[in-house]
Amino acid sequence: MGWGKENRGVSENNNIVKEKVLDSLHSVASPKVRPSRFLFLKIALAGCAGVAVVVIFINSRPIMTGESTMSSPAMDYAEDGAINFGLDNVGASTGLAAQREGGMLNKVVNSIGIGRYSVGEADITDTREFLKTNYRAEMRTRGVEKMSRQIQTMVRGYEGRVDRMDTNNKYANISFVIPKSSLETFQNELRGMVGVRFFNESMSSNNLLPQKQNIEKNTENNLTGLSDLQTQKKNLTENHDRVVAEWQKEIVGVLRNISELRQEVTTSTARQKIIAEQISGLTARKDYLVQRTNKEKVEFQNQLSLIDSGISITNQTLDNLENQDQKLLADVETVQCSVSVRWISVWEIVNLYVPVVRVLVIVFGLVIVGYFVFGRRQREFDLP
Amino acid sequence: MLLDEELALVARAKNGDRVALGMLWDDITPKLYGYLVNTVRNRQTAEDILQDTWLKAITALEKFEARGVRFSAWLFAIARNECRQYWRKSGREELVGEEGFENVPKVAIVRENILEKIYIDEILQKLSEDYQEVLRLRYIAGFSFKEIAKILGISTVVARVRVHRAIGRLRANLE
Repeated sequence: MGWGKENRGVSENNNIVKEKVLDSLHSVASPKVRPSRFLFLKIALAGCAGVAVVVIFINSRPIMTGESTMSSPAMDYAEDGAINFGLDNVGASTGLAAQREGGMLNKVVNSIGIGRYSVGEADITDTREFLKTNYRAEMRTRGVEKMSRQIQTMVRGYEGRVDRMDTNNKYANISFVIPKSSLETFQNELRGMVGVRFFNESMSSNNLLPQKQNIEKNTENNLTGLSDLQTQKKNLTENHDRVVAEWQKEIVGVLRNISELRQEVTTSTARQKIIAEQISGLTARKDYLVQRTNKEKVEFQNQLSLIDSGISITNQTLDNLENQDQKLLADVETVQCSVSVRWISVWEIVNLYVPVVRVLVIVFGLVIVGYFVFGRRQREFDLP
Repeated sequence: MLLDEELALVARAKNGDRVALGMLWDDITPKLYGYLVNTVRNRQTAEDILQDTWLKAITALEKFEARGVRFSAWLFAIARNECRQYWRKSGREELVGEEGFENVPKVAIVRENILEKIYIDEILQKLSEDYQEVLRLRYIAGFSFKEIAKILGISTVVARVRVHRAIGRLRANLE
């Protein structure tokens, strides 16, 4: 702006005034130079950084050692959704499937392979609930081993079963199963072991209805197959008995004719020749019938054996399905639990009560705000 | 003059170096005098205040603390204080007259420039004292926003905003 610079100038008496001023000069001490106003922000930032370093240092912990593991067979079907009851190879070992391909036995044998939980979508009209509950808790304590032992004892006290336990001096994880009816009491006892801030739990439930429906469907199929096999066996036996009876009857008739012909007394050479031919023919017929009867009996026994095998396998399958059903119901009545116990440092305990990081953020924010409100404000000069 | 140069001269002046003080005078006085004339609108009064300001500054030179601003800023703050004291003693009405313009030297100034200057000063008079003050410090004294803030005891942001608003008002009045 030209206006500003044009206003600059000196008075007519500039030199006189200047001399007066210069004459008044006397020696004084060196100027004191105060630290810049940014010192406030610098100190605040350095303080925050220092606290952060202390936090990081205190939180850094050595790696834990001395791990021990204990495990037992767990109820795994709830996890993979299937129970293998060892019938996969039945069809192959009996050979029935190969011999009766497309028949009733094959249908029965194939149905055995379906005897697994298949987790699919349940029919929406079926509103039954078979809730499998999973419970998980995390505890923080300074005595990990002691607390993990206490939890083990508790589990056994509630008639539960410990399936897996990993422990060391800093961390423990215990997987176990307890009856559903004991869950609430167990939870309360577990909560009482540590303070609220040191305890965290979660629970989830899963409806096993698809598995239940699958078992029911397989049971129904197997019952139908069993019924078919029994009918087949009955028909087979009846047919066999009827055919064999007819043939026996015919054999008896043939033998009676042979006997009658042998008892006939004649001197006629021609007649004797005819009788001999008839006896020979009837004997051949009898032999044929006997042979067919024997063959029929062998075939009957074979078929009967196959059907009986099928019936046996189907019954076994039904037994297994029943066991599976009972296991599912038992499973629903139990809770799969997992409790983690973690060591906690004194610093972390303090942090649980006083969230240091949050406080630091707030302090830092206040420092920034303070800087803009107060630090940036120019202090007035100390005027003479 | 740069801050370091000014401080070096002040240090020398504190040790009784007349040459250094003279250099400071030569550099600062035109701005300070222009500022005072525009503020008190009387050349004689401005000259008195200028002299008092310098004398007080020299007396209290030991008290001067450079907090990231120039010595001239401190000097202007003293001058501003002197103006206030003068106004308190004599009453502000007397100061806002047209005497300053009557005393403007006619030599080497063409009539158009005088008229233009009077017109601009009239426009400036319509602004509040706060706005006039920041414009003087910014454009006559040539201070930075930080130094203006220091002189007025406000934050740098406020100083910057005040200057921009003053210019905005000035433009509006010109239109």
